[in-house]
Amino acid sequence: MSAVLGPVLFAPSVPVLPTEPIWRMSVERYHEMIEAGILTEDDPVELLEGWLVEKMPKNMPHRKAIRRLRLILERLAPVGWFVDAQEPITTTDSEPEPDLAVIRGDSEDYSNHPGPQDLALVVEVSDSTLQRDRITKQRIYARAGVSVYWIVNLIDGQVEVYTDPSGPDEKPSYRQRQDYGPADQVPFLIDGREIGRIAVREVLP
Amino acid sequence: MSVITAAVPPVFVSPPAAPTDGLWRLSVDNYHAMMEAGILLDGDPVELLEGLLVEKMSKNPAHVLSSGLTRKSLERLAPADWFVNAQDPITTMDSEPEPDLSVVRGDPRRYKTRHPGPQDLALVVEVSDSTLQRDRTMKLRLYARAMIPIYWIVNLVEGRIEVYTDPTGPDEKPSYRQRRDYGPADEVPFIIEGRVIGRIAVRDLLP
Repeated sequence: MSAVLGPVLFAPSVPVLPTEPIWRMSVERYHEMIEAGILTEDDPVELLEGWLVEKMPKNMPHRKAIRRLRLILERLAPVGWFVDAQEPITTTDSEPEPDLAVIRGDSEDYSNHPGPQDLALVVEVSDSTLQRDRITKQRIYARAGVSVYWIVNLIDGQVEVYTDPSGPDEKPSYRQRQDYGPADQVPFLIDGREIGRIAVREVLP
Repeated sequence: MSVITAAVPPVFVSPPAAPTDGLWRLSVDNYHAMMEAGILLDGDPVELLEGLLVEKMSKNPAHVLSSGLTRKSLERLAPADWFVNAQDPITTMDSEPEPDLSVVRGDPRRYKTRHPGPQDLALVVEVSDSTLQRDRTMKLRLYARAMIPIYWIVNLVEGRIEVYTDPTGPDEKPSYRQRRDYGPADEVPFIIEGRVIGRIAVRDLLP
């Protein structure tokens, strides 16, 4: 005879994730989804290493830090460079929307999103996203060869500067990391040349 | 002064794995729009499960064999106004799984413009070897949420059939309230709308 086991005892909780292999999508397919209107500009989503990932809502200190740093970078950026906030950049496997990016040329020049070769610096402001910014985003920017990556770390009150990307390595990462505390000044480099220095204190909320 | 730390520690460089949080979920409409726009093709080994595009596993010979045997048994017993689908999509609120087998109401032509939904189904079957975990958790949850009345797992790993009945529906933790296991010496009742249509020897379904 069959065994009666009664209620299912291992009732799984919702939403457990993702022990399952989630399908990875190319950047081309991601663009097609946007063109077809399946994803819209307003959807808080970005493509990270082929996965559609929700963007976290930003709290006030986060927004404040972005605004402050944006003004400073815009003041310092030389002619021939501009600063964008929360706009997509395109790499071979991802289309992240970094909090800030310093981009070559004029924004009018771009019919496609900027790519790694167009970028002097990308910045993520991190509180709830610190783990994602240190792991996934760092890996994406290092793989793409973005030369300098800053994490404005609101949790520990510091700016983490990552340089010397490995490129499309098996385990992409930045070879150097330097942390700057509230009393420090972070050098703002473009193409290896120091453009100015930014007091960490002025950036942190 | 700034603090200089050496090369970034290896914790940063684990190989890509799907993010454990914050995956974007697509609606069934989004999924259909992707197919209409040719962004997903019929041949793509993927199904929509709870809003996520999940890769389908490849099937080994034992899996194919057991699916075929089960299909034959169900088709032999199915009454005139029911038919058996194999690896065809069914549509629920949040998912479009492609169960190994499903027993569907009515004439196949009824489904010219849409896939069968939970109200059209008497039974769904998954044949499980490498997919046992997925079939017992994610698939079970979404079939229970959709109120599919009976769900069989033909468990090739342990050589038995698990019959799940009495779904909770869209509960906080959707699940089936009853599970009954049938070993190789047992016969599984094939039930449509509460009526026993016939009995199938488990031995006939296992490879």
